[in-house]
Amino acid sequence: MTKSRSLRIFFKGSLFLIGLVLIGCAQYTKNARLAEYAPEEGYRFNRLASGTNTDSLFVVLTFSGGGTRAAALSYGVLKALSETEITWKGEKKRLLDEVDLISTISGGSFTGAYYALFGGRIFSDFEARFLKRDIEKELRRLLYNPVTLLRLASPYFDRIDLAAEFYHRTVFDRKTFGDLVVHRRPFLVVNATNMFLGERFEFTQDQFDLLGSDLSSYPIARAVAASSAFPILLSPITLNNHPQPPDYERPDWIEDALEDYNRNRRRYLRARNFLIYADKDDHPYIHLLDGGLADNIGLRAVIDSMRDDAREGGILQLTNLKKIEKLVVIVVNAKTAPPENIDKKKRAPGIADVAMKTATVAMDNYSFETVELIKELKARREQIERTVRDCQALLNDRCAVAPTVPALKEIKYHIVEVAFEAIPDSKEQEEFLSLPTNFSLKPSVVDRVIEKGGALLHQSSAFNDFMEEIRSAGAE
Amino acid sequence: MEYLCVRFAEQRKVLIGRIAQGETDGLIELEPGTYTVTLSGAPNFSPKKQKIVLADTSPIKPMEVRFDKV
Repeated sequence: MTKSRSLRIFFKGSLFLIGLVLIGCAQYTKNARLAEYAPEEGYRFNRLASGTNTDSLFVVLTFSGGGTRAAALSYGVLKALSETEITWKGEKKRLLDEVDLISTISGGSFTGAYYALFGGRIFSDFEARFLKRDIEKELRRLLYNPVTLLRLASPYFDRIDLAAEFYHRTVFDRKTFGDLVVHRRPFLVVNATNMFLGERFEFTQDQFDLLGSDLSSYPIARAVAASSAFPILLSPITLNNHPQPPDYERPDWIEDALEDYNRNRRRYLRARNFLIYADKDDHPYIHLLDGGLADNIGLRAVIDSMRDDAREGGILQLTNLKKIEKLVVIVVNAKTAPPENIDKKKRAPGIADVAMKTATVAMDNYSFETVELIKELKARREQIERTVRDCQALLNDRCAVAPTVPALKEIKYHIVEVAFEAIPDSKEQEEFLSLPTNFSLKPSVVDRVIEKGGALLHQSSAFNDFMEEIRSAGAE
Repeated sequence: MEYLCVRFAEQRKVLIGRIAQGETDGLIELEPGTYTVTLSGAPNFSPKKQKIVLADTSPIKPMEVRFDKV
């Protein structure tokens, strides 16, 4: 055997071995096991300092999915809130400084997570670091790298893990949820979908408690990647469902709620799903898909918080403790509706049209019904407040010594929607409703979407009613 | 929603499970369902906790749950 042939064999063998090592080492980032159960620790609403942010004016933002279009629209709304001055309880501040909770899906998760992590810095570098980058092109370039291809050959490292690493390095400065704990409000709720249960999964310590897992060391980029793991295009994110720490105690509400099958099916299902997470032998892994599958506008997290009695720091608890005077929910929905001509053709629509409709019709209907649901909850609550008021007035009017009806703390609700459908000019509306869902919008388009986010907020009658109310309260 | 009013001789936080959801003598809003109610602070009350089924209430006629001082 010649020396050069030996060298060739050695070189090829080495390459083969390196390849095997790369495949063997390629592994998704695991979520850490919880060493001890600490209900007062970790990323929970109550752990965040409120600073000058009051509970009495409780502002919630929900950012929908929709790629860069959704990220830019929600960024435009954040920008407008930062430029909106209010006086609340005698203190002048930006409305943005009163935001308590941001619930995000997919594209909207990038903006929400970036703001929760870096605060005001978002207004100086987010456009360059995310919105105006061709993320898809950069990911494709990464994908064609031979080392990446070898890593992707591992069954434990998939396209979504590659995307998460990329976001971790280039967008979120390698930050984890532990970095969010030291921050003030807003509390960030990044939503994904549990593939087995088909239900909303949120990246909070309350949720991670069910997995016996510590969220604090988990990269924020992986949560955002899970939230935007669009089926088929991207693979699911996998989490380990660890055994519970020895000192873990099952919450009392579970046993109670399991009796509520006929009384309150929603509460019963919450308890039943809890038991599925608790069954570590049958469910050792949790696979997460795009949050948009369970709720594409991020509003279900808010509605759950208005109903869930087991949530420390939830909206229901703050309502019952009489802390909230005004509840403002701003729903930023980047939904589009590209022009179609299927009804103009005699021929039945092709497979592409059918597939698209199959993927989007139920999602769009559910988003619509979710917004209507929160409006109904608002209307119902207002009606109850009115009934109590009228009852007391009637008693005062008719009885010499009128008894006092139990006092219900009155809350002013404002549900504000920011959506392209509200653009008054039909031609402009059509332009925005035709924007694509991707992570590579032209910078000029991004600028227009950002500007439109602010404009749509300011033209919303619900937002203007709220501002008028705030101005009147400030003047008193 | 359903409405609950918990009575006790002293002002206390009302715990639903382990979560403070309101105060004694005040109205507490909850979804219909089965709940375990108790009080925060010194355990000078009886019974120690009460299991209730909350349904068919209104803010004008909430379900009343009473704890006695011991």
